[in-house]
Amino acid sequence: MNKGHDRTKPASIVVSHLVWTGYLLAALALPALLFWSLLAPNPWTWIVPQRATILIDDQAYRLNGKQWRVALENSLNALTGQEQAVLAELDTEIDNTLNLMFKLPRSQVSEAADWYYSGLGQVARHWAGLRGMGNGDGYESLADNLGSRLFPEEEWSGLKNSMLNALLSKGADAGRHSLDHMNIILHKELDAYRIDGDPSGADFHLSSDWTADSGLVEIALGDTLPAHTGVAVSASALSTLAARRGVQVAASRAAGRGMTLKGMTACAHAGPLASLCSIGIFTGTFVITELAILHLDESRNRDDFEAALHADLDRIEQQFRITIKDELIGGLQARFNAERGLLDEHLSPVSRMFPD
Amino acid sequence: MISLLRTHISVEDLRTAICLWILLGILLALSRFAAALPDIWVAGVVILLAVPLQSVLFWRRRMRRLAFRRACLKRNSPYFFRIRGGLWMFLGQSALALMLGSLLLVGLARQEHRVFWLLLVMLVPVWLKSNHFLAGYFQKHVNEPFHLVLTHRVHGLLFGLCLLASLFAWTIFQPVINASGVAFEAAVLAFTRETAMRSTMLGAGVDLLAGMDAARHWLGQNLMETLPGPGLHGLIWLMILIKEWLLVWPLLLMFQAVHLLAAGHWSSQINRSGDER
Repeated sequence: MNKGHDRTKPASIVVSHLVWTGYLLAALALPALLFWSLLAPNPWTWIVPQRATILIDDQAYRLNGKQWRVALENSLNALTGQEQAVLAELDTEIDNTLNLMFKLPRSQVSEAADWYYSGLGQVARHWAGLRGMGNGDGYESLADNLGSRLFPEEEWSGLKNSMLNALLSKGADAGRHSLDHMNIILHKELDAYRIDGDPSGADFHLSSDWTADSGLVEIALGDTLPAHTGVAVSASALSTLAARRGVQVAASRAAGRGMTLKGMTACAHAGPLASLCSIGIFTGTFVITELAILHLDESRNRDDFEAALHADLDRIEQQFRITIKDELIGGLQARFNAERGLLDEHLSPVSRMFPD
Repeated sequence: MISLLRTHISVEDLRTAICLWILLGILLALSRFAAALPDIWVAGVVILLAVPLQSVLFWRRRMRRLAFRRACLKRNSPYFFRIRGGLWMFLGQSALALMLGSLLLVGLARQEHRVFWLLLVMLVPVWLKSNHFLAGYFQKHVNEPFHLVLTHRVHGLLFGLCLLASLFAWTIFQPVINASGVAFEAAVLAFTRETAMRSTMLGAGVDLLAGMDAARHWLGQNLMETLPGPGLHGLIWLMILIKEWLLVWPLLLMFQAVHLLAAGHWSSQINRSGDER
């Protein structure tokens, strides 16, 4: 029996030694771990990510780096979406505004055609034709005349200025509110990490006064829009129309001249009143011929003329559209880009607080 | 080799040291995260801290009552058993334990310098050895039921005095915040503003201690020239001592509780303490 007891004794000693050694190793490891956690910088970050307190608009939030980056990315994405929506809305607004603006000149096309095919218009056309024979610029003044009828000065200026100002202020508002919107989105994203109580002594203070630093992009539309709407109606179209009319009425003029010659021949038997008769016949046939030509011209070419005016108005409207969109939407986009830079400047110190 | 080491370091000592270091790790973690705890969590932590404190306090109170009973009452008297300490003593010591638990948590939330924690970690073997020494000494001179409680009381007192002296010296040599020429209210506001606690209860406690700091700094820098020097010095030192003692006292009790549990005295002696007829 003693032998059995002797055989188990070494085993129990070994076990007790092992237990003791285990305790010793734990007793060495624990203070080492405690020393490390006290002496190493930020030792808790491998268990619990380092958190910091930031203040936005006197509201304190306590969060770690990952939470901050996710909140910031979501806010910036939402801001981008909002900016794109604003630009799309402005684009539509510009189209609608221009449609409304150009209702005025389109409504004046008929009136302009009435003048063009009136006696005064005929005189102006002849004068333009005569001037054009010398230096080719004769139709500029005719185009000016038509332009002033399509775009009546006072009415057009008032309408243009009021509508463009409305667009400008809309663009400026959109630009001004985008940073405010970013502020709201950021607060919403950070709401889960909000802490109450006195926020003083927070690790980082983030000023929300971003708008004070951002400058409004100056969008000056007046100087860049086609101001000379008078010459917008293209002089070349008018000279083309005149040339075509010239061909059309050549035969009528020839017939008229024939009538004049016959009349003047008949006056040869009038004796001393022959010259007066001839002048009268010449003047009468001239006026009648020209009136006939005017009516003929109007009946044949008025539709084409009005179509040419509409085409010109479309072209002018397109010029306006391109210029306004370039200036306003381009300017707003530039402002949004500048604000991103400002946001980065304000928010990057917070991101740098958290190690990657 | 292991046998040689085992003659000097027993398994109980290792186990007790491990438990004390684990306690320090838990307290260090509490110190780190206390600022982020909401009110409900703070209440829960205070209750958890109060449990071991209440056990030690109740045990010590009962032993004191036993000493009184043995000294003043006859064994065959019915009162010898009746006044051993029951529900009221339990409730009284629980209230005291809750208060000490709160003080401990407030002290931890102040985030003492890491030198304090390094000192505590290094003093664990010293704690064990000094406890063994005192236990051996009192075993020769003190009656059986009382030698454990007396060992721990005296040990705690001596250890506490050493810890207090260290903290006192550390505080004296800390850089002084300039509060001269500032109104008392402004100084208190400046000190309390530095703390940022999520829990209002914990914040109130931390603010109170910060206010004590502000008061001693303000007294020292503004009234030193006008009031008698020794008196004012004494008042300032007393304020430092009180502030540090409010942390050391519950900390030592917690150490004793864990020591008693780890050393196996809990089930053998403490549970049955004072119940003899």
